[in-house]
Amino acid sequence: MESQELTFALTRGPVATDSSDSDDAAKILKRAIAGDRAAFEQVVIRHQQRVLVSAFHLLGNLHDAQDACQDVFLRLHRYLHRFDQRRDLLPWLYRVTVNVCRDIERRRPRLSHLDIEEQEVATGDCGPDEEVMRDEQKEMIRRALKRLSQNERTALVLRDIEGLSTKEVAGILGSSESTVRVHISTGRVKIRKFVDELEKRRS
Amino acid sequence: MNCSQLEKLIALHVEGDLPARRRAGLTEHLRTCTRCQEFAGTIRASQLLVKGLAQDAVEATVFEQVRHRVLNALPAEKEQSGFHAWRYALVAGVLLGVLVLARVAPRHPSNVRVTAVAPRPRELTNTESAERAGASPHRSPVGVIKAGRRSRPQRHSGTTLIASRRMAPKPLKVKLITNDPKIVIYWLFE
Repeated sequence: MESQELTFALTRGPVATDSSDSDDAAKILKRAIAGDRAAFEQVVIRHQQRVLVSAFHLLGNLHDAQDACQDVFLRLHRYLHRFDQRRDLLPWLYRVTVNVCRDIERRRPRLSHLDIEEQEVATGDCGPDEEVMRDEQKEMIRRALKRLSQNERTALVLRDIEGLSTKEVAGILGSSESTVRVHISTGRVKIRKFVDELEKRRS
Repeated sequence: MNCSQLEKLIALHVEGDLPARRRAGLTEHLRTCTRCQEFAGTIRASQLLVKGLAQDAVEATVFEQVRHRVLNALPAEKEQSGFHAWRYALVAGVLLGVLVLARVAPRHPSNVRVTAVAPRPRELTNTESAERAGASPHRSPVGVIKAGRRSRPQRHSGTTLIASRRMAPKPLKVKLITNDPKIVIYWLFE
């Protein structure tokens, strides 16, 4: 049920871009800090894609990701007056997103491995269409991400999906680069094994 | 190191995350070990799938929903923060008041160094007795009552009470001197 909904929501539609000039971004941020509501909306528009998509990858659920995204921007609004304008907003947003997703994950009931296996069987009978196959592979990786520990998943999402450097990830998570490397390597090996097992079972 | 121990290093190496000091040795090993070459190939393939998630696009309506939810929640957020500000101001005011009272007023009756305010009878000298017998109305004797000390010494007495009273029907003036020279309190009793 959940996977069908996600496939529908996450395969099409325009991608919000954040390629505007950094000077403009700084001006908009300054106005937002001064209490300009329209400017704050612009800040939301500029960053909502990264926040929502990273929350989705961390939580594996679009509804929770939407809740997380809302919470992140409300926190931004609440603490915007404290934000140092000389710093980049995005790392701060990632850090808050990670924390909010951890809170949400702590509150919700944990999905057992048995549930994950049942979902795999339920979605395993798709047609040979290339697009369907690609969606299936994505779904497989999302499930593999769910099986990782929280630290491994967070490091992997930020490094491999969001494309941040190891140093940036370490800064966001407040840990050392070597710790992040350990989480990333363990996560990659686990995902590779999960994909390998699944493909063997299917063949 | 055997091949299974090198898996995590290979997982870092395929994305260029391996520190330079360990890269040379691993590259050399990969050149000769077919098992590790195969592992590196499979992990590259799974990494392609992981990175494919970055292409996920969210429908514009989902963003609109989130944006509306955020913007609709903002006034409530503002009210809430305003309420907190008032609450903190109220608490701060009460605390300030308590502090001022604690500083100015005696905390306990035992902190007051002076208790006696009643005039102590004074022995009149012979001259004064004579004058009083003469009953001169314009020179009524003036008794200044100095505050007496309690037998028990006060450790934290921040106040000194001096009472002055004229024998004539003038009001009793009580002066409370605090440690703060700017704060002096008078009581007038008819």
